[in-house]
Amino acid sequence: MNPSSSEPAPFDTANPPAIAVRNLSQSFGERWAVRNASFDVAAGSLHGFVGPNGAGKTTTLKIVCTLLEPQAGTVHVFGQDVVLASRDVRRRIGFMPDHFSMYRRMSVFEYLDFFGAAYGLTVSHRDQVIKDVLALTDMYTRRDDLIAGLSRGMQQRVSLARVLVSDPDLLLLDEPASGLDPRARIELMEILKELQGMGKTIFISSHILAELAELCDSVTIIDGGRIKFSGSIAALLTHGQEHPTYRLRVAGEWPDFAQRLGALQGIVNAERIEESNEFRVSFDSAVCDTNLLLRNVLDVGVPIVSFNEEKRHLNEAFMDLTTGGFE
Amino acid sequence: MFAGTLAMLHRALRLDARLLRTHLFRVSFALLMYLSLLYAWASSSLVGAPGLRLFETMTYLNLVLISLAGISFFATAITEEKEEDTLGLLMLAGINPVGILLGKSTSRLLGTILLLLVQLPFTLLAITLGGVTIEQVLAAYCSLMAYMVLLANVGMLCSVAYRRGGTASAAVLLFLIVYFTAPLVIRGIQFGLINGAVIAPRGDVDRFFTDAAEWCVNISVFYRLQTIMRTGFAESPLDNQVQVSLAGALAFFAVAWIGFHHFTRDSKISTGPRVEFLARFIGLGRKRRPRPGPRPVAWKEYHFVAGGLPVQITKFVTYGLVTGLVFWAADRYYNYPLAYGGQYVVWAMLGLIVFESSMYASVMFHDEWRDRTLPVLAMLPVRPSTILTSKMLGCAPALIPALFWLLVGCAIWPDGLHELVSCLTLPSRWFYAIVFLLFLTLTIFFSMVVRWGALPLALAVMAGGAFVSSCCGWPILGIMSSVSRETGSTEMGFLLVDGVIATLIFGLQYDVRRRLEIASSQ
Repeated sequence: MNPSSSEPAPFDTANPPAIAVRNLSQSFGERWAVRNASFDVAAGSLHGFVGPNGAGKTTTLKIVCTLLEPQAGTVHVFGQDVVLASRDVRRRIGFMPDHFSMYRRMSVFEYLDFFGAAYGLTVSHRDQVIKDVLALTDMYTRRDDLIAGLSRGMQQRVSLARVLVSDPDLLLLDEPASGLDPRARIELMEILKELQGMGKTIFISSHILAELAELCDSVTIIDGGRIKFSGSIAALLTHGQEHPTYRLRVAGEWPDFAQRLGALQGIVNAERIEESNEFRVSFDSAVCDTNLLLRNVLDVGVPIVSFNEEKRHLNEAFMDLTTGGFE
Repeated sequence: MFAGTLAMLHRALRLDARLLRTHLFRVSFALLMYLSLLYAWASSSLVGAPGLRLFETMTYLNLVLISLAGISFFATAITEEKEEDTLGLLMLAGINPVGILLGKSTSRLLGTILLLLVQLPFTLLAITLGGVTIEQVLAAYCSLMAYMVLLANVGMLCSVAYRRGGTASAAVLLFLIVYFTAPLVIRGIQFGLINGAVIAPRGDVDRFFTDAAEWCVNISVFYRLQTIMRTGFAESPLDNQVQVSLAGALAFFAVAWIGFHHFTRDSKISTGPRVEFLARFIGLGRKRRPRPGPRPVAWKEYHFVAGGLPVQITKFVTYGLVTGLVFWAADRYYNYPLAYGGQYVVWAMLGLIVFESSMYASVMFHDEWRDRTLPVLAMLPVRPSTILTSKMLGCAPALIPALFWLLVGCAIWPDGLHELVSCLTLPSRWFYAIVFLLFLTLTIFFSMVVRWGALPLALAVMAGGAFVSSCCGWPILGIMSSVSRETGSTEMGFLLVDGVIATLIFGLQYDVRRRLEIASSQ
């Protein structure tokens, strides 16, 4: 039951990525939670980690944040091994688990003060940092409130503030938006954008790709413990498409247009979309390019109203890549 | 109603049957019985009535285990549903309060009854060994069963009335203290009042106290078992204790049923008057509370587990008042010299130290489990051993008030200073402290392993350990006596035993640290 191995590219040690995962495997009994996973997260990026429930996201996150020792493979955070230099790694990261880890009998200020002290900050430094993180998370007015009395969204903000108290370079957020109402979600996403602007690297896990699509620069998709995709959102949209595909809209009725398109040089497929005035056309990029395609299409003599590249919907790409554990 | 009850009972029994620990517990219980049988057989040539001795051991062991089950197992029946926020779901599923109460309590009662049933073959062997009759066996089991049913329903009521398992367990413990000490307390008060000439001997009030004490003795399982163990016992198995226990159980069940909706209306732990009260309390105390220093975990434990300075001052004053009350009552009502008062204060404070430290040990990791804060605690850039030490250091100042009044008691008690010095210098005295440390470490260990009932579990293990030691401790006693013979002092033998227990403590502490790392990743 060993996972198959492949040789991923080694990372640049002079300018290491925020996270470099290489051939990572972890099993619980007979079940593999993560199998031979390899991916990078660039420093300063906002990287999404997406997968269905039980895909292995939390296990990977726990290994990255030093809570779990990997059975096979390596994980480096800013070039430091998470097993060999776990204490140094812990100083550079902030982890927010998928559940609220709160001392409910403390006030918001006391909670943050406690963690500030645990990270060795002086009293004056703590005062300034707590003031800043409370302002950032819009919780300053609730600083003296008891945590147990806060709403779920507010507890999530306090949890994020706690992560920020130690001023980590890398934030690891496990499903931070789960259970939040739409407003709280949007506000959380805005805070994350702001944090990225401050130079933080953010690694955020979620099982909803659409939630991360607008937020993230890059994304890693995991399913059944295996990495299915890792790269930019733009690359994800065209991932798996063999040939570039365009959508044409014509003026008037041209029932034989698909046939006429199919006869052009480099066209691999042309079809009419459901008896409408729209046609889908795919071409072989080795033979033809977009300019040539458009010129050839115009030469056919049919009036073209619109000509757009057809990109897959994110959810479509996600569904194609994942099986939801039914592999 | 019955469909819901049966569904819950079915679920509970299936869950119970699937858990390995249930079977391990039953096997270990049977092993304990087997050991006591072997012990009775081995000692049969030395003492008379080995069957009675075996039966006595088994019965009192049962009494202890049923009491522990009452504190942990029965007291958490409903609170565990509250803590997991599933009580509302059960009610939404159409299961009415009686269904929930019966479904939750019956499975637990059955589980405990199974433990009693597993002993039957051994009990019958006790009759064969001699010294005990079938009437005594029947009466003892009737008495224990009635006590179990009573305790199950007391636990059920507490579990309905309180939101947290810990509070419900504490309430059952309080009930047990009152139940077992009531005759002694009533007689003590009666004696004091007569001695202080407050009431006339053989007057109405005196008679009332005598009757009350008598009634408490009659309904107490402990005194009933003592009666049953007497040679020539031939009473009915269904005496006062059984009847009152069953009637009491019924009454407690009725109160739990009637009050179910009232008590569980707002079962959510995060809100409610308690939180509002705490918010006000914290708001009041914060100005006086120092900021966390170089040991923030210790700071957290001291202020949020031990209660901080306000609680310490309250304890200091309360214990002081109790101490003063003891001296005053000893002088006024009991004609005891001041020295006796000092002795009582020492013992009372020692008891409080034991109680308080046990409570702190039992919640050391329980709160972290409950609030799911172990991962963030483990993520701090400190070693697990530092976290453990800080937690202990944070709770230690909470014992200062009791320790202070203990020293006051020692100063007044003429032998106090001598006793105190001997406690510090003699290994035979260290033995008690080191056994207690073992108990505390075991409690901390269980607070990491189980969600509820770390303290009763540690007590059960210690009771089992003491029982096994009394049965199989001959080699240890042999080593102790040979060491003592060679050195001419019994202290060396004790030093050896102390060393063995200390090694066990270090081993357990190492395991707690290891588990802290594992638990944080789960």
